[in-house]
Amino acid sequence: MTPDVAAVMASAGTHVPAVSADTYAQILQFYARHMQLLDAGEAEEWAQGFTEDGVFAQNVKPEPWKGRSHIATSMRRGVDRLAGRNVQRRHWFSMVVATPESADAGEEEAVRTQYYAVVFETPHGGKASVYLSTTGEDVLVRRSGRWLIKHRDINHDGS
Amino acid sequence: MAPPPPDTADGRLYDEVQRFYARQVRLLGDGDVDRWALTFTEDAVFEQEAPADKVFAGNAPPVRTGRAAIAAAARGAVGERRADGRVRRYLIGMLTVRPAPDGAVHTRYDAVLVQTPRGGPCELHLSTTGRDELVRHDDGWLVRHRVNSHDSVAGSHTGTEQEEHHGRSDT
Repeated sequence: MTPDVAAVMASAGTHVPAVSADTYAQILQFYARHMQLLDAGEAEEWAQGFTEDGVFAQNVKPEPWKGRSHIATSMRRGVDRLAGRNVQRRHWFSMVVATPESADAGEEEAVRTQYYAVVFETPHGGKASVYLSTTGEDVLVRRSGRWLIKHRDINHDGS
Repeated sequence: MAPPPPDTADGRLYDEVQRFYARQVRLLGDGDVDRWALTFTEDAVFEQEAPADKVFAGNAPPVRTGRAAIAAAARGAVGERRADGRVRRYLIGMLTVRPAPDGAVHTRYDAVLVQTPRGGPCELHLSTTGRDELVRHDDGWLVRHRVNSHDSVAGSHTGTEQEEHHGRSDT
């Protein structure tokens, strides 16, 4: 089913196909572990969560980051910039909608997700604040039992 | 479908643990310390990596051993905020659940504390991470070991779940 049909069915209040409870639990735990890596400043490990040809697009960037190595070097720059500011960020994903997608060869399962992603920021010795509110949309694939991001779109609210 | 990776809970277990936390945080938010304390094992250990003035009640020791000591520290905190008319809500997110061979589970999560003084406005009071060992008890779960780390503390636990559990070398 195309996303358009799914959207129409959802707005009409009819049934939209959903992933299994096991898949959903795996995806939530994948997101938690993956964003722990970023919050720990491990940009290269974090980039391993994308497929080799993965794409990371954000509405605040002129061009998407394409390919795991480009994603790694671009995020490394961001992490190093942040390290100078002595803050701890926490990326929270929630309100995750997950619908099945058709899997390509070599993929055991493919899922499209939509979610909210809020970022909390705490300066060392200081007070926590909400740094950012965004929405995200991913295409995830499972290969050899491991979830990977094939495509990620992040839209910063207010941009 | 294929079984989950060994470090990942299946849907049923993940659901159980999420419900455990939903109930547990509500008990603390409601100030029901007696019932909240019963969500820990009798011999549980609760460690906090927090600034001295924010170790739970402000005057509680950073490591509490045993349900009674854990409850006493929480009672102090609840009493203080009740006197000031402050309401606290604990929100847990980004949860991972890793089953251990002995039937326990190791969890790792982010937790924020939203506080509302009488008359408002609400504020984001704290951002923390938590790492628990949960053990099965009857139909549910109990906390046997908890480490709660405030993000405001430089050098507090900020790494990923896989690096450690009960990994503090100074206790």
